[in-house]
Amino acid sequence: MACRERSEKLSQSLFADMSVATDTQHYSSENTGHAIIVGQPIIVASCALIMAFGLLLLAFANYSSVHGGDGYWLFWGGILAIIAPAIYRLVGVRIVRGERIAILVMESTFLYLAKVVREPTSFSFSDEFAHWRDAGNALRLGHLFSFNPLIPTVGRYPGLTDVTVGVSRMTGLSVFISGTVIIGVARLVLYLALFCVLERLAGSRVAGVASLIYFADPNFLYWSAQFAYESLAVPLLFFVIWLVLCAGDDNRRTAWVVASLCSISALIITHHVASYALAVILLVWTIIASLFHRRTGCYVPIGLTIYATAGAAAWLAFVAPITTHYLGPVFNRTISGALALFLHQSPSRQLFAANGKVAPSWEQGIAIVSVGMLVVAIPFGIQAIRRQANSQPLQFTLILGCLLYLAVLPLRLTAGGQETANRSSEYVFLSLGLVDAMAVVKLAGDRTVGLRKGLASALLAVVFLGGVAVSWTFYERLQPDFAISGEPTQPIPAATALALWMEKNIGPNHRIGTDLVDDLPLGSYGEQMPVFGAAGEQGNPHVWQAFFPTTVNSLVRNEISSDHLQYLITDDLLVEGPQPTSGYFDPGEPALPGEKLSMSSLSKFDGVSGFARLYDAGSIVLYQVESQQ
Amino acid sequence: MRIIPSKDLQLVVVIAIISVGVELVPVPLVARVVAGFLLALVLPGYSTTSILRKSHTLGPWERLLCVLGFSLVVSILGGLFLNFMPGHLSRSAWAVFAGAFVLVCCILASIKTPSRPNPYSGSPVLSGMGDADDSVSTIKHKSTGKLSLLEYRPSLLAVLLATAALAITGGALAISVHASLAQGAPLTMWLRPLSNRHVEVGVSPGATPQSGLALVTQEGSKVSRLPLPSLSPAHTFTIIFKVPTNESELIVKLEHNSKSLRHVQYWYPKKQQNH
Repeated sequence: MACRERSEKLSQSLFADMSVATDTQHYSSENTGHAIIVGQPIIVASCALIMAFGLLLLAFANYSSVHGGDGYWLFWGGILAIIAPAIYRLVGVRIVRGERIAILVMESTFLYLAKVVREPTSFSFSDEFAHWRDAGNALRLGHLFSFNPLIPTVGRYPGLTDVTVGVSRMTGLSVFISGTVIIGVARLVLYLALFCVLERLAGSRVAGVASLIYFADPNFLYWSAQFAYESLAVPLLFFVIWLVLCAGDDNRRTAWVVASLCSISALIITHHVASYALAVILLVWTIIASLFHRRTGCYVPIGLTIYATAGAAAWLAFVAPITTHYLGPVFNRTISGALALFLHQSPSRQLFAANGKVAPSWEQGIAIVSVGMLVVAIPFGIQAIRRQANSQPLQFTLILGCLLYLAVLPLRLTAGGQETANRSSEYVFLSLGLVDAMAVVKLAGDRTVGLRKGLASALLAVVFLGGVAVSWTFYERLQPDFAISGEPTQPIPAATALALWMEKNIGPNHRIGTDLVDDLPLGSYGEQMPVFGAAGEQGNPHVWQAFFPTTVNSLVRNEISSDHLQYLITDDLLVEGPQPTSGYFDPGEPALPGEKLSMSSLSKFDGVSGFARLYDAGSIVLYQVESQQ
Repeated sequence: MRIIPSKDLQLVVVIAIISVGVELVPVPLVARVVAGFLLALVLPGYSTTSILRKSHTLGPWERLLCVLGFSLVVSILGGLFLNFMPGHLSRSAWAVFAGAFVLVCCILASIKTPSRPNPYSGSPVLSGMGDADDSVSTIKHKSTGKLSLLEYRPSLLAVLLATAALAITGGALAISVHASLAQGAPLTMWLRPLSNRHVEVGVSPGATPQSGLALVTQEGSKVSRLPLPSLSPAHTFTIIFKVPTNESELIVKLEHNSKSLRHVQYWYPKKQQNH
């Protein structure tokens, strides 16, 4: 109870310091009971209506894009309509806690639906196919830990597969619908846990604003909403942090500790990086809490820290050693990128550009302003935390997270380090949310309306829109028109149709040589075994050597033979666009001398003895390799 | 039900037993969907939370967080447990496990349950609700001093607004589904050897109606001429025919107005594989 009292004092002192009026008396005297749950129903429902209109704009944007139109401004209008009411309400004062949570839950749910309306009938992001394969394997074979040819590491972390198989088995629904519902539920856990954690540290108003800043995480809109193990693990991570906070605030903490241990176990078997992030957070938290302990007697989660660290290490060592091969190259690229930036003092990557296309200048501007504001607000937020009478160890842990954000930010300028900088945002934005929210609340002041509140709302909108601008390659935010895009950045329907045809007519688990886009539906819906070097294959296959030459020479035949390829799939759309940054057929392939793949490289198998042309869908052709070749 | 005196836990046990029953017998899909979601994503968390609630008071939002969070945790750990059990990840194994888990948790939650202070009766003991500006612990209902979801009576305008929001959301989803389905697969032709003298040839028109002619040639000489019926979208035409000889190249072309649209090709002799 001591910590509980300290927590209340902390919040009171914080708000006194910020000259923010408290709303307790107002609502205890004027509101009825149900207001506690959702606040003022008409305002909440009005916000829902505006957000629904935003979603409708997003649906029209996708519809327009699919039919060859331009849904660009409809997209931004839809995003703005979803975030604007939430920002305006959450920055304000005199709003009950329940209304803040209700609006937050609605906003984040509509943001999740923004991902759903982009492709509501099937998975479209690359990692989703790997997880579909894992769930498909478990449903077909009846057990976990089977080999996953698309991302072998996925098969060693079966948390998401567990839940998906359970839901799919019991409801009879497809993996797609089950997965969409599960990620939706996980997102709900994320919003609630995020709010509850931040509320314990700084009160509900700061928690609401901090949650909005967390939603500005560049990965929040699409990446974290995809059907992937990290989308389930990050909510579990926040859930564990909340459970540990509860354990610290309660004298009868055994139940909370047991709940924390179970949740940590679930996290460890769900995702590698999230479990390591939890171990680091708990470790830093324990160290800081140990320093506080003598003075304040606060809870030191040392047992949970040891369990989380030992559990993650044991799982890595005994169940998922392949993770080192998966994460190792990423960290190597990060370190080399950082060194190159430090030594040469020049960026190795052009920002806001991909595959030869550059984002509109206003997007570049708002993204830079957004990042600048996030950085500038940090010192003010830290100062606000330091001025509190009773600070908590977790607050200082999160301040260190802000410093980590500053440390990894320059990595976005490097080709090797940008992935690490981008992927770390799901974790560091928890810190950034809390610290920057302190500054925003201070700026907004305590008036119901006014210039300061308007300014704070506008700044938050800029931060969010900047996050969206950074989040996803600008021309991939909407569903493309496959008939005219000519650049397969995601599997086209013809590839999915071929995958289903192969699964039905040829059977699963044939070794296939194909490109890095079409391998996704073939490795998932088709249940085939796409062959490429990064898939953890033995013998280091160089499948591009079968495709790059313009004639079927001995090099091509030797590569096909050594890789034991049974089928080859060519996609003429590869020739239309520029050379993809991640390669045509293998992430490790060399750059083509002529920069672009030629049509003759793909059509060379036509009419050649030993290659039967079994399937023709226009741009996509399937060849069967004779076994004696 | 003497073991479980609490009425809400009794209800949970009854729902769990019915859901398990639904999972073990053939029922309509709707019933299975409801039972499956309850067993996987609601009841395990609810029953686990009820153990915590023995000694800790939780607000409605915290309770929702616990129900969903613990349901995910139980499903993850339960799946791993079932993976090493004889039934593996079968439907019945999942259902029995979830039902048994809920039952055990409800029994555990009922053991020596101390009387809990009502969170909305003004009690200062409210773990997990630490807040400065609108603490729930200080709020009472005007008339009764208690809060219940059953008492929730939003105004007609709020209901209308919420209904409109739901309708628009449904419309947005319908539009996006329509847009997604419009992107069907293109015209497709395939060949599938069935034996060393028989092949199956199929044509799927994709998103637009298609008619045409399938020309079968072997070693350059015409073998067969197959007029295709007018194929509507989602309609697939397949034909099995006997090849004259199994010692040369077989080509099947799809033509429309003398224009070649698709072609497939096969080499004889060939060892049959993978069928």
